[in-house]
Amino acid sequence: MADDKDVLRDVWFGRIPTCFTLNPDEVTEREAEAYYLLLPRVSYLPVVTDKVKKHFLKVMRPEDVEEMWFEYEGTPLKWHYPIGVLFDLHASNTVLPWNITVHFKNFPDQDLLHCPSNSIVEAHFMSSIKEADSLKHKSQVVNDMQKKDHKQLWMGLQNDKFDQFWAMNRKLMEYPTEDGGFRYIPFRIYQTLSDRPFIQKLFRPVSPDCNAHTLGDLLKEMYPDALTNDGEQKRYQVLIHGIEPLLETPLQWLSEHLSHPDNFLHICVVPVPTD
Amino acid sequence: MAERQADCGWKRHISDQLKLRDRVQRHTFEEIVQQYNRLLEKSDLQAVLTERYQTEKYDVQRGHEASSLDASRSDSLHQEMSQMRIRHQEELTELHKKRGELAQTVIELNNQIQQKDREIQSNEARMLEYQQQIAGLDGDCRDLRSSLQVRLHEEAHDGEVNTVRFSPGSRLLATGGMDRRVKLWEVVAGRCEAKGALTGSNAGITSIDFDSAGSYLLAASNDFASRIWTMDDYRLRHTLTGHSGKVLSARFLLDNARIVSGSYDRTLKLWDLRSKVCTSSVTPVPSCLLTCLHLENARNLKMAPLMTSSVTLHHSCYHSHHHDVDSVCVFSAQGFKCGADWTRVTFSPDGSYVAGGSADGALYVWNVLTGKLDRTLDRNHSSAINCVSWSPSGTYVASVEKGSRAILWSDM
Repeated sequence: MADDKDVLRDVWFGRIPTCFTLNPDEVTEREAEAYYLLLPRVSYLPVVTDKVKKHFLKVMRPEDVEEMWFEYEGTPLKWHYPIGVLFDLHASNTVLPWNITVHFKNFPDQDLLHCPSNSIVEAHFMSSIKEADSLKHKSQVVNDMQKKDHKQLWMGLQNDKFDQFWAMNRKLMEYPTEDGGFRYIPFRIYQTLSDRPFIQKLFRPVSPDCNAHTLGDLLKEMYPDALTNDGEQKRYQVLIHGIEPLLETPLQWLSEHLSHPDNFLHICVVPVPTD
Repeated sequence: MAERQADCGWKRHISDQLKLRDRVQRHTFEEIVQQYNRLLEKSDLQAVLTERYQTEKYDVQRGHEASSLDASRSDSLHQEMSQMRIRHQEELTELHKKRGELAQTVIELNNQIQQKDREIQSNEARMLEYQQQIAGLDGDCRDLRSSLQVRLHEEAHDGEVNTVRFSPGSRLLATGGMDRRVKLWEVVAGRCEAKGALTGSNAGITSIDFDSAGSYLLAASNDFASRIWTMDDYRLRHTLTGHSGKVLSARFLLDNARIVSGSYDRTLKLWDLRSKVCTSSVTPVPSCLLTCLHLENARNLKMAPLMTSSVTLHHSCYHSHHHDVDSVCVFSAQGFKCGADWTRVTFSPDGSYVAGGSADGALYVWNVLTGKLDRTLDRNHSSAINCVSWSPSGTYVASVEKGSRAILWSDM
């Protein structure tokens, strides 16, 4: 349906306005201006920040440059999360643009993984896709693909090519009609105040009595605190791609249309802002 | 219907929410970020350019400062420099001129070389022509010479001609052949005329000899006997039998009273003419020596053409019972082959040349002292030469061949 295609496009082309500032502690030859960029929600930080690096290297001496890393209000940003997830989780209700601080020294080994090249990101991306497909189709679809098909998925993401990506990705969104949906839905629920990085469990899209499960059903099962009981004030926002879908939205549809390119449904639960 | 409505509800909600998000997060900032980045680029460029201009300006300023401080010194420096410049200019023009001259000489030399090359080529062409002419003339010379020298060119016998000999006076020539006859020819004024024939032999004649006076003729024959005729009347006088094989060669000894004959039975027999008996017989003798007995002065020099392509000069001394044979000298030539194992060769009367006939019909003449081939006379015999004889006067050489022809060569 035309609407569905539009949704896919809107999800793919989502952008976050970001302002990159150099950490004041960095040693510079002269003052560095801030660098503004519209970051794609569905991509990853190492893939889209080449220009940022080039901009800031202009004012730095080569011997002071180590691996670049980003931080928002003291929190080092994990590059292996999609950018949209990072924003929704940390800065969803703040003033735009999103202010990120750029560092070139003192890489926090405890909190972040090193990312020396884009091929690391590619490997991580492909492994997410394979994990998702193992939940959806017992890995049959992704294993039937050839190496060049996998490459096409990654290149589509890296070069921001919607059609190239979805030419392959639609295969991963198919399911046998008699099943009514995927085997299990690949999802992750992120919370701001928790020791756990995320919640990921097995969950079927269709109930045993052939009813489609909704977003609300998922939350009730996985994170009931996120739901508002009758009469209470809303405490949490459930964000996917920066929007709050209605709780009666079918989960199968969500997985097909609102997943990230890595085929996972990334759900952020953040506290409602207290103005 | 209600489901569809509900469907549309959450779906439309999502759609609307996405649009709203984009309006807030993307559209409001897109333009500004673009323009900001463009400005950033421009300012970067400006910074780079100003830096460059600054440094240039500083350099120029420093240059100016330096010059104003020591003006006087720079004046004399200036003068020096201009003088140097003038000198260099002059040198430069000189070098240019010299280069032009050298180029000219190079061109001239090249032309000369080319000319010389052409001359050389034409000389070589002419040389080639001359060489060809010389070769042609050489051939003509040889032809002429050999044709000049041929006096007699005739079918001498019916069948092979085995032997030929000049009489001591050089006027008579005797040939012997397989037709059992000895034919006599008179050599007069460079021509040969048939004079007569001696009969009496029962088989082919192998060898002929005259006595030193020329009054007797001795002929050895395949019928195991040697015969003597008188030259005045051509009558057969004596027949010497006793050999048990073909008599290959027979000679008068110097006293004309004795005869020595060599035979295929490997014996040399000495005959006394007065008693007409065999006085002694020597065996064994290497059969090669029996093919040719040629007495020269006091020594026995026998020449034995071996069945090879060379003629070997043997020096042998005969004393009653022993003999040595030494090979003195070997004459050979390309193309010379003995026609049979009893082909004969001969010395010239003064002993300085050796003449031999070859299987291909050519007469070879060697110089004894140098051992080298002196002349080759070919194109007159059509088959192998059996025997050669040199006239005592030295002017003629007679050669006879298998094919019954006898040829007389003059001007030897």
